Amino acid sequence: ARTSSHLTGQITGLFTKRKLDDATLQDLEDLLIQADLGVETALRITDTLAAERYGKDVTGTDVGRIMAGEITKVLEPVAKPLELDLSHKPHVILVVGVNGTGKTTTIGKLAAKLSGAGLKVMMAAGDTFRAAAIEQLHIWAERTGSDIVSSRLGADAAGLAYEAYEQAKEKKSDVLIIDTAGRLQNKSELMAELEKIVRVLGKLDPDAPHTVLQTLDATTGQNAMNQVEIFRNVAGVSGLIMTKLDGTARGGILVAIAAKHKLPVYFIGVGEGIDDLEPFEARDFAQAIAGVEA
Amino acid sequence: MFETLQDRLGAILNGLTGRGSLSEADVSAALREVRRALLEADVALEVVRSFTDAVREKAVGAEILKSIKPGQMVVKIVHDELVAMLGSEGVSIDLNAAAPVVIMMVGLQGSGKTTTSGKIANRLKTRDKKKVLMASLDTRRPAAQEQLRQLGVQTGVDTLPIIAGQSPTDIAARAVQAAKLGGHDVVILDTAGRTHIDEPLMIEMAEIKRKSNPHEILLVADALTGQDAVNLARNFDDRVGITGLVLTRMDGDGRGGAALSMRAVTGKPIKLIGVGEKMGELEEFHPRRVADRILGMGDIVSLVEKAAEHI
Ligand SMILES: Nc1nc2c(ncn2[C@@H]2O[C@H](COP(=O)(O)OP(=O)(O)OP(=O)(O)O)[C@@H](O)[C@H]2O)c(=O)[nH]1
Ligand SMILES: Nc1nc2c(ncn2[C@@H]2O[C@H](COP(=O)(O)OP(=O)(O)OP(=O)(O)O)[C@@H](O)[C@H]2O)c(=O)[nH]1
Ligand SMILES: [Mg+2]
Ligand SMILES: [Mg+2]
Repeated sequence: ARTSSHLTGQITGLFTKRKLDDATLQDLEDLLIQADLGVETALRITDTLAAERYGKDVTGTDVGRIMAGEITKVLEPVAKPLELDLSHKPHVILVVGVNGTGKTTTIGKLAAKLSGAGLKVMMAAGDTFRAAAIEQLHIWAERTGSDIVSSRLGADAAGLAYEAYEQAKEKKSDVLIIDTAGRLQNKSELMAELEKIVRVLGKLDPDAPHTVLQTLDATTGQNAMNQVEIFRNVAGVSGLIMTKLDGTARGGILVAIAAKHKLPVYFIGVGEGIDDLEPFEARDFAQAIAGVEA
Repeated sequence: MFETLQDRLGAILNGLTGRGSLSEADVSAALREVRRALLEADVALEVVRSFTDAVREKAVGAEILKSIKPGQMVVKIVHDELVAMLGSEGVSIDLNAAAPVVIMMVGLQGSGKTTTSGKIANRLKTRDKKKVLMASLDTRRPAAQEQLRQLGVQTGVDTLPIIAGQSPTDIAARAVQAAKLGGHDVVILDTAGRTHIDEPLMIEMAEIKRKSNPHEILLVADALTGQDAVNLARNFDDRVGITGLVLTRMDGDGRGGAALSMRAVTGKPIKLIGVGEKMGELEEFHPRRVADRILGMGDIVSLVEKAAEHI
């Protein structure tokens, strides 16, 4: 909401009522670029706008509405709720992503939602690398009343995943959520380690991991595109969660990602608290980018 | 991943055949591509604008070296201007103050403050033979204090004992006190991550500064940051007056345009860069390397430099 009012100011400042000409289109393109959509995606959207309205009189509200509409068209198909197949017991959710993007926190928030829905959740502290990553997840397990399986710093993450699956099976958990260490997508040894976790899980249940979630930080720029590309190839990412949308970053790169990868976006993170995880609403997100009040 | 500026300028380079000095038209054509390259490298739009204006001013009418195409000449000017704007190298952490010298780390959530605190402590200890104390003021994020404690154990650097329930400002005061008593040369205060529009936390940050009188306030920011880099850098700087920047995750394959954005809006030097998760993975900042990365065209620059040598 904060971001949209900021932008609304910009757009209404741009127009009272004037012809949609090249200068205006350039201003609009600039606004989209500042929301991190990237040059190409921004151009595609302003081109569509131009095709419909070039040379016609438009007001700021018109333009905001049309732009939001174009962005919604891209995002609508990827706004899907997270669905679990509970015939798998446990349904295994693997959480992956670049360092500091919000994996562990999102697991905590997600566990709260799932146990709130009456499901029995187990967590696995698969980040055996970062200092106190295990302790961090333990606190989230406590907060959400989830079970947790963990080992020691430096332990083999794939081994831990294996162990956690066995225990979840034994305890009849409905869902097993596995945390992993953050890694940059250009580090091939670390990506190979992730691949190994996926492989080990596949041996326990050919369909596991049933869901692979990737967290993306809304403040990230164009690199997020490449993050999705590689994590998807290596770990079979099946859905995205964009975090940190409570700041001023608008996360516009998600529009480019949606257009290219068409991966579902399940939730957005809007704070550090346990309840700060909201469903992804294409229209709201698009309106925030285009500066239209919801 | 990115099409390099060099690839894109190719057509323009070949198209421009003017001789003598760079014309307005030559410069404009090349600058359109430069603009795009900078945006794709995540340089913030407002910074791109003032940057291309500065280049235009320098480039129009500039003498073209023999054997160099006009477009190449523009690229060289762009590169040099970029290096100049990124600032000089080797502006390291300043310890020139009465001991214990306080270094305060600030930044958005997850940017790398705690890891960088450990890295800087490790560096001051092993390279500069300083006695360092680290203190975590992060009472919010689960296990944040424990994370810093473990990094202290890993690096053999003292950490302030954790007292549950103490406020960040009280911990800051206690840390400075403990460092005085303990004969520490440097105290590193690791603070909780905060978004720059979270008013209570921004007030808390200013309060921590008031209580601990830091000599260095380092903004730790992710090199992969997009357009928001200008907003966050400006806000942190306005609220506490940062003394320098540390860019983390420079080991990623992003272009790192945020470096230019943050440096341009704050005027503060980039003091160090993080190039990995391990305690030793902290390096000096080299503006030239980052400029090459942002533009992806080291070849043209060396070509023009060679031509210049032959005059
Ligand atoms: N403001 C805000 N902060 C968030 C959000 N999600 C996570 N964070 C914060 O971002 C920081 C990093 O979150 P983590 O959950 O530790 O991230 P991670 O991906 O597990 O990090 P690594 O395991 O170190 O790679 C923490 O300070 C979180 O509290 C969000 O939606 N909004
Ligand atoms: N690849 C890489 N990872 C880094 C670098 N610096 C920090 N990290 C990782 O980024 C993640 C977050 O680092 P932290 O030091 O916990 O970040 P923080 O700013 O203290 O986070 P909060 O306290 O939650 O706001 C961790 O997984 C670190 O290992 C770096 O230079 N390169
Ligand atoms: Mg984590
Ligand atoms: Mg921290």
